[in-house]
Amino acid sequence: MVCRHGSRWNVIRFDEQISGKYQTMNINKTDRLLLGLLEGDTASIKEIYSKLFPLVRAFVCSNKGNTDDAYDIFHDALLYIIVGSKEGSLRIKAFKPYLMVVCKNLWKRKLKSRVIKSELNTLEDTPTDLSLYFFEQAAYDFYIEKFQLLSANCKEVLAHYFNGWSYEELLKELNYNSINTVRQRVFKCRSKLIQLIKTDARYKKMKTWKKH
Amino acid sequence: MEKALTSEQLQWIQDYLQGNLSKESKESFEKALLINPVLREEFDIQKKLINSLNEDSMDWEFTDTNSEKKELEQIKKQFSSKQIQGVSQSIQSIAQEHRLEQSEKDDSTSSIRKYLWLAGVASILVLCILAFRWYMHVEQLDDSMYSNWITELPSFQVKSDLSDVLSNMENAFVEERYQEVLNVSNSIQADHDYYPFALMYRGAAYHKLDQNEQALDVFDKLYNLQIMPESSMALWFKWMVFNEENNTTEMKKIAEIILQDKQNYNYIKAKEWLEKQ
Repeated sequence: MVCRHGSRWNVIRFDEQISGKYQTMNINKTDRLLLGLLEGDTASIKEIYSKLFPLVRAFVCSNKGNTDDAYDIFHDALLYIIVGSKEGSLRIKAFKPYLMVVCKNLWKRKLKSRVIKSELNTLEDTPTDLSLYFFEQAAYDFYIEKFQLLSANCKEVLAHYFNGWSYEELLKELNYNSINTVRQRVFKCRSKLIQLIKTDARYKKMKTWKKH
Repeated sequence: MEKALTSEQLQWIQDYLQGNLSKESKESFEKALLINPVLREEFDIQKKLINSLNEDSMDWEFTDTNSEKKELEQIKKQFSSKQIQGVSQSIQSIAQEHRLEQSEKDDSTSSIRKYLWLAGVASILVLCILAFRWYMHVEQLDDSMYSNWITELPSFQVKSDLSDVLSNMENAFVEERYQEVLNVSNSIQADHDYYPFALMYRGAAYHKLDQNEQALDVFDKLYNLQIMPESSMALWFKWMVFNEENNTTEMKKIAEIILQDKQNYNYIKAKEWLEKQ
């Protein structure tokens, strides 16, 4: 790692392979903060901390965590994005929302693992944990990606449906004529989504992963 | 070819995931999951979709990627590599710096909070002292003493060290520099703790500048804030404006409003004045 002081970007060069390789990655190449992170630009990382960390801390602190937890999660999320981008599997359209999603998921995972670990009394090291998370987040991203392929109307109906709305609520809020129409719409949209999921080769691979 | 899920089965899954099933239905659903692979697969997908799309969901599904050992090892190697460990250390240093900055900021925010708290306590004390003084001397008051702005407006001299802006505004008013009062009070934003006090001084300054319409508008604004005791003070200030205009009709109307609640500012004064009419 080379520290270049006095340069315009004050770059701490993480890794020659990382910086530069993003040109071929599935990421938004106009996102200044994301590019700054991948380049190891200190000013960008500081900006990421000052702009986005407060949101993550608020989420963690309101969900059984504290500031230390929030710092750990934020660090792991940044590392995950760097490695994921380097590896080429991440498709980041907008950095800020994606970072928030990763932080939230890492925290959900940590909360659940606390329960499991206290039961099984096992501890994973960070690289192993993050590697496992890598696959889990890939599955999460896969479902979001498939959902995004639906029509605007289907996305609206299913987003509410998966958020726990009843058919009656959907009827009222989305101005359908009858419960039967809502039911048919949900069924049709959901079937389309399932078809998109099942016909993707990545799903067949994921099916072999055991869940617990 | 796989048999598709029926609309009823879909509802069954959704009801199970939302905890809407009775104990018996729940048990039969779990049994069905064991024997029906199509239902199980659809259930798994639906659960994943809910976890992915429901922002409030705090559930997470761990994955045992035994089948992906090679890929897992490859990713693990990257996370454990010297380069990524170096990256990790750099991020940690930046985080540490950020943490220090935050704790300094938190300390100063806490000082400001203490400062505002003290200012609040001081202003309540001032109001209590003034109210007590008015209450004790109420019998000695005559009509001419009802309309003394200097005694009616809250003083900030007690906490002049706490709020230079407010005490400067007060000094300007005492020294009859009313335009300056308007300038200072206009600079205090509506979300500021001292905004009600700024409105009091602004209204009084307009009145002193013979702009009674503006003065009454400002006191209406203060009244509409619906905060006690400041809003009820606005009523009295309007009464004072009408008093100087000798507008007895409006004075009566306001005095009657003040008498609707004993907690209103200058309730006794208003009562006494009305009884004299």
